[in-house]
Amino acid sequence: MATEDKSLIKLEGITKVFLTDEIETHALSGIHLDIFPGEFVSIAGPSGCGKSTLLSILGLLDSPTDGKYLLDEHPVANLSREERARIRNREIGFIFQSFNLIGDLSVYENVELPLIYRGMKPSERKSRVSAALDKVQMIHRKNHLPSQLSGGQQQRVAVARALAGDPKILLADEPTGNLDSKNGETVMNLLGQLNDEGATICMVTHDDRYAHHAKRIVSLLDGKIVDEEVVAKA
Amino acid sequence: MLDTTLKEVRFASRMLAKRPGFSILAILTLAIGIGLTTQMYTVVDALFFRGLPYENEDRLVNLSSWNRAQNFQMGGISVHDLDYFRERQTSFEAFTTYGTGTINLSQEGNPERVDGAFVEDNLFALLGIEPYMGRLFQPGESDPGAQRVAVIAHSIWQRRFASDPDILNQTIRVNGEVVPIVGVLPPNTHWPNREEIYTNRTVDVAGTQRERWGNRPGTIGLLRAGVTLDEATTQLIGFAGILEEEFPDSNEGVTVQVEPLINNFQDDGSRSAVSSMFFSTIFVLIIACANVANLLLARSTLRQKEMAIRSALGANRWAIMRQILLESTLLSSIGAVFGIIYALVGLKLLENAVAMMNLPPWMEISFNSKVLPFIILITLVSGVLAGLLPALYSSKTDVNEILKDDTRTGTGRLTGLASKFLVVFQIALTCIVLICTGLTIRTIMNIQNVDLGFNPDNILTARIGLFEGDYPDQEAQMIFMDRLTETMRNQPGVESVTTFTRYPGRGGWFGPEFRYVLQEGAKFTSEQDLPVVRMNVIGENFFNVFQSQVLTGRDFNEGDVLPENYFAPETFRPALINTGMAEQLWPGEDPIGKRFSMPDGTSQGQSASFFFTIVGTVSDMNMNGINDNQSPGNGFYLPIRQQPPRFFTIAVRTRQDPMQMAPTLRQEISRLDPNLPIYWVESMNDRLEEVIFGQLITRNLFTLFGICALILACIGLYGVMSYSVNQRTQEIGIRMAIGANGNRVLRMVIWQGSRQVILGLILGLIGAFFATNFLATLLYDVNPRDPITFGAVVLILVAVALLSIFVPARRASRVDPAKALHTQ
Repeated sequence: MATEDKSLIKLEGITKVFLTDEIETHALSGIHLDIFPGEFVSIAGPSGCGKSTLLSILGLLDSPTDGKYLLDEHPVANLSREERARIRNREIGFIFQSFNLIGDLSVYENVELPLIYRGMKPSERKSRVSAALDKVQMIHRKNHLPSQLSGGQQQRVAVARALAGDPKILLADEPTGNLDSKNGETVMNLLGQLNDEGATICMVTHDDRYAHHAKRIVSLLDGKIVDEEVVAKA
Repeated sequence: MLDTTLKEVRFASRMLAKRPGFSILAILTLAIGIGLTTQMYTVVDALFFRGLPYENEDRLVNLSSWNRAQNFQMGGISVHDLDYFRERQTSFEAFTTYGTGTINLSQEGNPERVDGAFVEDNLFALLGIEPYMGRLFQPGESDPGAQRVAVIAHSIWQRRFASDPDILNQTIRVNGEVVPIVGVLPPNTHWPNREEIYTNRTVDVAGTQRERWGNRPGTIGLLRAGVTLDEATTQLIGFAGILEEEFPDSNEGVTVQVEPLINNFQDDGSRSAVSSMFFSTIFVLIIACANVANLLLARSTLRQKEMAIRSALGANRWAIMRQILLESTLLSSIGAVFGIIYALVGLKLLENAVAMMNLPPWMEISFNSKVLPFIILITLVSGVLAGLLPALYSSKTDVNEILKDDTRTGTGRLTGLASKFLVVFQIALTCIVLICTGLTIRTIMNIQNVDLGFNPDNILTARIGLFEGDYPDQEAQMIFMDRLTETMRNQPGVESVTTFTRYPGRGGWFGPEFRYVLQEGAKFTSEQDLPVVRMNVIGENFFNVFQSQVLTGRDFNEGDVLPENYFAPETFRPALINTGMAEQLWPGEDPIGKRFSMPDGTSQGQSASFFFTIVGTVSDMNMNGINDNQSPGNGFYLPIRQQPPRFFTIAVRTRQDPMQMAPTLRQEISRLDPNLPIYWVESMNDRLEEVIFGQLITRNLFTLFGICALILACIGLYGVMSYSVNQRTQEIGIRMAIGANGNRVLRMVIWQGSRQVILGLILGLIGAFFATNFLATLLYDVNPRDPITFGAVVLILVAVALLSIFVPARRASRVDPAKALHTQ
């Protein structure tokens, strides 16, 4: 790990507390984490350990109760809703467990959507969407609706959508969770390939097999980081 | 940007096409609201938003004489007063005068009765009207003794004269007088309404007697540039004060009112009635929007995931709102297309009613390009109104929560509240519209139940005008009247025939005239002390034809002939009075043989030199008009033989449908005088219906609005309850699993729906309490806060609302708990 590099993501003492009927639930407690450009980090842990909450905070879908979050050296923990939406759109690419493609939009339109929100020119959108779909080998299905695709294909489209905006980091939340092992493996290989090409990836998974596709595994338990492991590649 | 918007529109279209049931319901709902609103706006635009189509319209004013003491308009400015103003005033460029009436027009036979006007030679110049052909009136043509000429409207030139290019200098008979046509007006140009024949009115100030009531023609003034209405009014009021002192007999208490000329065409009563109808359609539109908002809200909960994904991908709040608003605006735009189709049909249906209003062409109620901006506006506003709450709701979804939880489909607390609020709002507005509907229905019922004091069934009426050319004196007129009544009396199927000047049961211009009266020997100090009653001039058999009664004394008979000198003190002038007048003037006394006069109202003491002797009393036939809820009207009758009028109405009581007698009447009149047109050939019932024409239209429109509002509100209530039951299937399943029976669930759902209805009703009743004030001028014998109407509307709304709730409630009570729990 090139510690002299600047962190792309820097978490300092991140805490997330949920208040339900006056009962405090500490989902995350004092998380310190750095993710550097080009890294492929896997956040692993059992169900309910706080990994999805951590990913939501990383993706600015949720705000921490306490702590500091720097994204590319800019504090982002307490931004406005509008500002968070803008950063999500420009700096972060999401890959969800359940793909989260919009069923009424075609493959092409799904991939194009974040670029439209960015206000990109149509010609540039077109080339970026085509390139992204090409990269995940789904260009031939660009006019299909998500319902006409297999789970693995849908997840590849989701990856293309995350890639199209050329984000600083890809956040993947159990990207293989809804796939069979063959398709899961394909998607993981795709993420590995993207990382090899320079993409920074942070993935949440509870599946040990897929966690080891990452270069670093951060283990969570009861809302705390309990272990970090650098994966040795063959 | 355009590309993005197009993409969003395409997506919105796809979303609507994907759920055709939802889309059709929403589109039709909005079409009803937009269609009704467009229809009424077209009426409002025609009646109130168009300016006069004349040059200098902002400087044209109407001048009238105003009775200060009794606060009513006496007509235009008397010729003497106007002459005085003309010589001294500095505020006006010019004045002009006119009078209107129906004109007997004939040319080589072929008689026709048309609307016409007698206008001063400068009227057309003042209005800035140029001739289409020939010339208009010239200076000097209003001087005493000037030759009478005619200017005709373009419409009659086309219709009657087949657009004859050689029409100029052809002669026509106008009220029996032969006059040459000197010009044709441009198309669609008339004054004041749809008059078609204009002749020059001569003004002979020196030769006209100064009177208190007569010689007050319609008067128009053109303000000098830069002079305000107030400045001009102040100056004329000053002159009126001088005249009041100088000529107390004719001018005491008389001042001048100056108003914009457009006011001649726009009265407060119709403004208030049409406004209330227009606002009712706005209410219906809001109810429609609330319905669609509720439908969209329900859909929003199903689309939470989609919106969360969009948000996760970086869509800001506005981008998400824009998508929903685009969809709702697309719905309202398609709704507007259907709404316009409805409005066109609706206006077509209103055509007959509009024709009866005799509006000038520039006020014609027609769909035109000026209505288009309004349609665009309400379409956009409807789209935003319908989409705003759903858009706000969708843009506020908790992205993280929704993306985390795949099973989440329920309605949020806020959405539920918003949805219920919309239903409450709908019920409230529906309640207001229904109460207005109820009040107009009650008005018509009350009018139709008015005791007329006579039987209008089986009576044919027709109006006839006898003019100097063919009927030079009263004797000639009387001879014609006698011949006609005699001829008609002998027709098979005729029971009796009479003649009269003013219609019983009608007020305004057609009803019996107002007259000051004074008992013989009584004194008065000012006009205000004088009793005011109604007067009608009638022929023999009047009370037979109308099946009313002479109670005491005798009826008029053929012996009540035209005296040599009607105004001589010794002449016997018989009169019949109704019981109302008898009670008013001689309470508790037998009025037979008593005498009264008709003072002109200004001199101290009895100014009239001649009296009328009461020969009989008659029952109270309605004289004020059936839409006047004060009283049937006190009044008296004079014999037509002593005052043969130029205009009279013949009434024929028949044994069968009176309109079957119309051809015979036309034929007999034509046989007696081929040049004499008759007009207003109608049954007495139709003549009476014209009085309540405004109320009938209002009732019909309000009934339409009320039904639409009720249906829409019920659809809204049903939709919300139905959706709520669907959302709560699991909860209901759990309740039933732990022991709630079907009845308990039924009661629970009904009670939950009823709370919205009750709150809506409370708000609606409060709203109606104030809103119904706008209708006050149209109501007859019913209080704007009539408890019966308010109560009936509450009952109807509760009944229909309960029915709307009951269907989903019953479905809820039949939920199979095992299935419900398993499904979840």
